[in-house]
Amino acid sequence: MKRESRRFVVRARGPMACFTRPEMKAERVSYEVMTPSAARGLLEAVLWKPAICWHVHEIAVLAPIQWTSFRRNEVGSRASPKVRDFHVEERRSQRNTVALRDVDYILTCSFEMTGRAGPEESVRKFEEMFERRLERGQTFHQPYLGCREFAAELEPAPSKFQPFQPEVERPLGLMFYDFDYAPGKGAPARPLFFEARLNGGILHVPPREEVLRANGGGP
Amino acid sequence: MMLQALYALARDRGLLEDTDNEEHAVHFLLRVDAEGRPLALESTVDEKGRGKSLRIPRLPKRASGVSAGFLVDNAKYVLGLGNPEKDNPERLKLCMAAFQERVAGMVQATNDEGGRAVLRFLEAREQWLPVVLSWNPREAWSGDEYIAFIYAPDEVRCVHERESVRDWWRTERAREEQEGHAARVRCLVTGELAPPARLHPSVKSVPKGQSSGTSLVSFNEEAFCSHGLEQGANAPVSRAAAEGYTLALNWLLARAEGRRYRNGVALGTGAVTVFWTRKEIGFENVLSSLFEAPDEQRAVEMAQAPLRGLEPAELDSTLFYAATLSGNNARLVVRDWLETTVGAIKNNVRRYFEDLRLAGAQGQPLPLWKLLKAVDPPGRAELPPHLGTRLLSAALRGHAFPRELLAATLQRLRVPPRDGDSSSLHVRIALIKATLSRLPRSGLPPLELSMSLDEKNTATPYLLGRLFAVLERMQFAALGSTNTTLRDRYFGSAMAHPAIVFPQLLRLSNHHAAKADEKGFWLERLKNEVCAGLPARPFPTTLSLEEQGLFAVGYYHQRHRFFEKRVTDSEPTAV
Repeated sequence: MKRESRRFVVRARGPMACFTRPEMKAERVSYEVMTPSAARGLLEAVLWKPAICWHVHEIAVLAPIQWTSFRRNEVGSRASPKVRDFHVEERRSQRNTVALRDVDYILTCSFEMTGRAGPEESVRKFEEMFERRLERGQTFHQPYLGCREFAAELEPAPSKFQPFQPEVERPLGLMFYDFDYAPGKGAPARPLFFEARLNGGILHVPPREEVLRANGGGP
Repeated sequence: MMLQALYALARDRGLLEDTDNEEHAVHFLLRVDAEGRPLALESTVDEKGRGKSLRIPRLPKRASGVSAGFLVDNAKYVLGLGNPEKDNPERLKLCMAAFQERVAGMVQATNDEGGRAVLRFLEAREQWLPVVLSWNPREAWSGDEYIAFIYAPDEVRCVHERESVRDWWRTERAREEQEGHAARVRCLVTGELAPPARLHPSVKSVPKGQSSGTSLVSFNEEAFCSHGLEQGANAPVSRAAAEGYTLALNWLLARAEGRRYRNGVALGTGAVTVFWTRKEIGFENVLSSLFEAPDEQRAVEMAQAPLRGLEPAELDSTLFYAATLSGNNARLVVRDWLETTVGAIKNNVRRYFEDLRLAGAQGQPLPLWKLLKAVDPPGRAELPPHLGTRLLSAALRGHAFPRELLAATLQRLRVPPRDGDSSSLHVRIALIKATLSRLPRSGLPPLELSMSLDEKNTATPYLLGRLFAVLERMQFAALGSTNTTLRDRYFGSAMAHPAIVFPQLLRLSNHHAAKADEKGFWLERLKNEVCAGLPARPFPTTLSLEEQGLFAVGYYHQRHRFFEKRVTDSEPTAV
């Protein structure tokens, strides 16, 4: 049985985005380009089932990279079922954000069937579901660009597009790839990083196995 | 990329050669003999109250807990002398024990005689304390004085500088790094597999930050952490990289060459922009002086020489980095981050100074602090927090200046000038002119603003500004110096609502013209000339922010023409 879907091309844009760098999470600074895990989040907003798992292959940057910076009141601690009487006013923490403005990306992606897929489920079924949902603009929750407050617009990509600055090749440094949620018994999730590079205005995302190897071995 | 760029800077400028030690101010040198007897307490404090900077074993990152330095630390740890009101004696005991324990560990491993002498002193501290206090009385200690030891036979070398002690310290640090961090993860900066640094070293002298230092990478509240990861594991950076980037930041922020920051420009009191290049070409120095400019003469020289393309062009492709930093309690805030080439910066900076150029004040380039000071809201000591950041960011990127800046400057212009406030008019108008000439061209009539009076400019706000200057001049010709001039009284409202103010001013000007003798005729003619350029319905009810800016520029140009005239008029008589 076929386990991998065909490749989809999706456009995501919005007036504001912040793909927070983990090293500057306390006072947020964004990466210059959308991270693969943020892209995965966008796709999962359109369609996600336990039976599938999304992979992002390419992120094309269509708009120039522009910055903006502002301060806002965030909250210092997390609400969890254990915390009673969560008064935001008492847990305020004013912090700075350096975010991106007017972003426009085209994602090339596909999904793979996971071990949790039932016997009657097929790749074709989910491909059609995704296409239909994307076409109609249906989502499980509001897709967002890095932070929940920066809403994204998702749509099928046009057949022709021109990345911004196709002539430039630029290293972006080590970028957050995704979490390794199963690093071993009892251990917390492990962050994975990869060598990001803008090549002709496109960020090529390496496959997961390669990233796991570079981050000190896979499961 | 910022951490990588900083780490590369530290590596290239040789800041990483000895990361086991760091530069730190030491206030006293305590000389002890082989039996641990204190022989002398030598103060290194200069007339400004600053201790001498020495290379000492790297101090641990301190929060509220007790963690002692190695062989060098402050009086609380070394002698147990703290502030009697603030420091609790139990804690001081713990501090002393922690300090002594580190020395004892070293003596046990190396059996170094200098170390043994220090240990003997520490063991019998109760006995020796009166001797030390006889050299420097109890009241003189605040607890923050750093003390280093000298073993008497070594004469000048400190105990922490003895070879065997240094070797031990190096291996001890390597051992500490391995301890407790079984997991090796990929370092965010170098890409190598290494145990992550739990806490990152402090960055000093960041405006609005804590005086004890701020952290760029920190996770002090649970909301910052993800997936149950703790502290530094949230952003895995190896210890070497963490020390490297902080060394680089501290180096950039250090006081040097008569400037407040080695390679940085203060943006008001709230932020600082530091910049550096990938290869060392001295460009940062030029740029710092250009913006910060301790004296204007220097700025002129800097602006004229190196930026006119005297440097070889291949340096133009060198990468250039700029980061705007500010403090927020114990955290370091990055407000802006820019990565571009030296060539682009040169062009943008040249354009920035061109845009700011305005007739008057000998055409000197304006230092950044002067610009920011000129828009300080009256009665408040501080600028709106982001204005400076956005101004410098726009200057370096060649973007339009923030509209907020135009609003703030116009607001400031409306307030009647105080005595001795004449030069700030020039600064404010320069700022307005630069903002207007950088406006995005879409939707607005083209604004080609010249340095001095442009008689061909027929934009209504510009002409109204000129007219206002003429009317003010007529008042002066008629009445001489008055307590309240036309400008004090009507400038703000004439700028915002010409239709209400101008008819009244014109009526008033007839009286002035009558009183002003022969000079009045000339001014009257000039007034009519300017009015002739105005459209049929000359006075709009309101002017937009941009139009108000143009009004102010017109006013300044015309006013400056009067002063210029006076200079040229008086010249022939002088000859």
